[in-house]
Amino acid sequence: MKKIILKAKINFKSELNLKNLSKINFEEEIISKINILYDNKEFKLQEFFKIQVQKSDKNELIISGTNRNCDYLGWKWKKGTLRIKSDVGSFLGVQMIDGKIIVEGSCEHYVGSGMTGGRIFLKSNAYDFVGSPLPGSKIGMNGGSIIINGKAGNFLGLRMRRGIIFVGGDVGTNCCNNMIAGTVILKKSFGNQLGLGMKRGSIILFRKKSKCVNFVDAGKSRSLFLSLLDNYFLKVYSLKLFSNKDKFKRLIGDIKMDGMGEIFFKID
Amino acid sequence: MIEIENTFAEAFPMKASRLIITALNINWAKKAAQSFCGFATSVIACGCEAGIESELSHKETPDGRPGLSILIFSMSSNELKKQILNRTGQCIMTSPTSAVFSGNISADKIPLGNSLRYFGDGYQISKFLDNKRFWRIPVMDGEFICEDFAYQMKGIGGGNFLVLGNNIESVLDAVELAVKKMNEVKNVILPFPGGIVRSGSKVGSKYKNLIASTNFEYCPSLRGVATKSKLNKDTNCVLEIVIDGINREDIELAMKVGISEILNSRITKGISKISAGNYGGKLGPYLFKLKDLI
Repeated sequence: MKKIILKAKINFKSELNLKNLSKINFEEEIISKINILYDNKEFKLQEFFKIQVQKSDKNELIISGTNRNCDYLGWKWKKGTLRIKSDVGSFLGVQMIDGKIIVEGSCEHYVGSGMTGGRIFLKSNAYDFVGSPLPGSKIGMNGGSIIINGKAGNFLGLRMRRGIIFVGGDVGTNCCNNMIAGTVILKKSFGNQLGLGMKRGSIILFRKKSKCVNFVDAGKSRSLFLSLLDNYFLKVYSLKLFSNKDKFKRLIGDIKMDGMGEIFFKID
Repeated sequence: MIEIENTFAEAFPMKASRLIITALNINWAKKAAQSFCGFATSVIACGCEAGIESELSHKETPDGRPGLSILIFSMSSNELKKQILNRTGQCIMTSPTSAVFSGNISADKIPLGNSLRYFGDGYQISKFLDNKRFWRIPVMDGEFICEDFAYQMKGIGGGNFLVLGNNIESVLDAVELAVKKMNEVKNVILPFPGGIVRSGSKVGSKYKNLIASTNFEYCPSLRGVATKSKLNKDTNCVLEIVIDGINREDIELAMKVGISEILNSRITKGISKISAGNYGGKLGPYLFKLKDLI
């Protein structure tokens, strides 16, 4: 087991494509052979990062000094933990398969787009298209989980197929549009057009949904699924979502699409 | 002084699975579990053997409600699948507030929600958590939550010991004590009513179509008639405790605590001997020597 520590040597002012970092195999010494693209030109990793390799009890890649120009970190990530100690650019954890990505700063667009497994934790905010399809593709997030402690932008969970997204802060507009399945939990406020075109899937709100035009009221519901979800979050993320006394109302829609999606929102 | 006969219990390999049943309270979880485990005493005619393994607190269940762990054993994978599916559908799904989850994991899957979901008639909802799929089937008290698959594991059936005595009251008191203690052992069940069986069987019969028949050697009424009766003139009653488990060690442990409980109890008057169902190697490869256990 290894811990690989990368420290940025410069402040990146152009786009840095870190897709190739996912080629790091913790078993082999290939890190010095990895090339990265900076401003569309190829460079060796060590030209921009100070590399340190240590023995550890788990496989971990720790990166610091990145900023919002550093894209494609954790692309198709499938093994070990990727810990980013600063902000990061777009396409974080895109098509991720397994493992864990922890970001201590904020992220740009397309976090976890097309991911099929693994876990992404953001300690701060994310911009638009979290868990959505990659530009040009049809299906969004297809497994795994994204936990965002801060805020998220527009089009979160667009065409989401499977998996869990939790947002601790506010969320922008068009959240869960054309959602196919999966679970989205929103702790705070959310923008307009929530669940528009939703086919299946669950949205759990802690604030009341003001406009429910495309959803029918299915009455009060304390689905056992919520207890299952609560227990899962407590076990895996040490996060307590609900108390036993919490009551929820359930809406079903988008009825204009013959959708069977559900929105639970907490009632007093 | 109770004699421990120099013999062994003979057990055989089975296919097993563990399920976790939860409900709004332990009372309804028990009702669902008891219904599931009903008519599941012996594979001779029930198709499976099942029993409640242990009670689980809300901290030990996937949905945070009180529940029970049950073990089910059968002779073949196909029969196990059939029994689990039918019993879950008819006994657990029908029970108010119940939910069912798998209690073990292996590569051999047994369809559970995967088949029962069709009861939802298109209104069922699938949820994927922690690499497991759960089905939410709409029912009249809300939703029945059911894990996609249960899983098959190896099991051992037929661990046993016999308690011999001169009257039914003494023998029943002794085996009841033993059963109470044996029920505390994990990974085993005692599938018979109250954990006790009076109609112990031997392999085969004089009638061609029967795979098992009465164990005449231990029938007091056949003493003197049957050629090989193992009962002396003072032994008028024999009761058996049968143990199914998922590994040899826990069956041994259950037998040990059961026998020790009888030996150490104050109500041993009337108990003469502890023996075991030994079928001369015809029944199975697992031999539990009584003398080695104590």
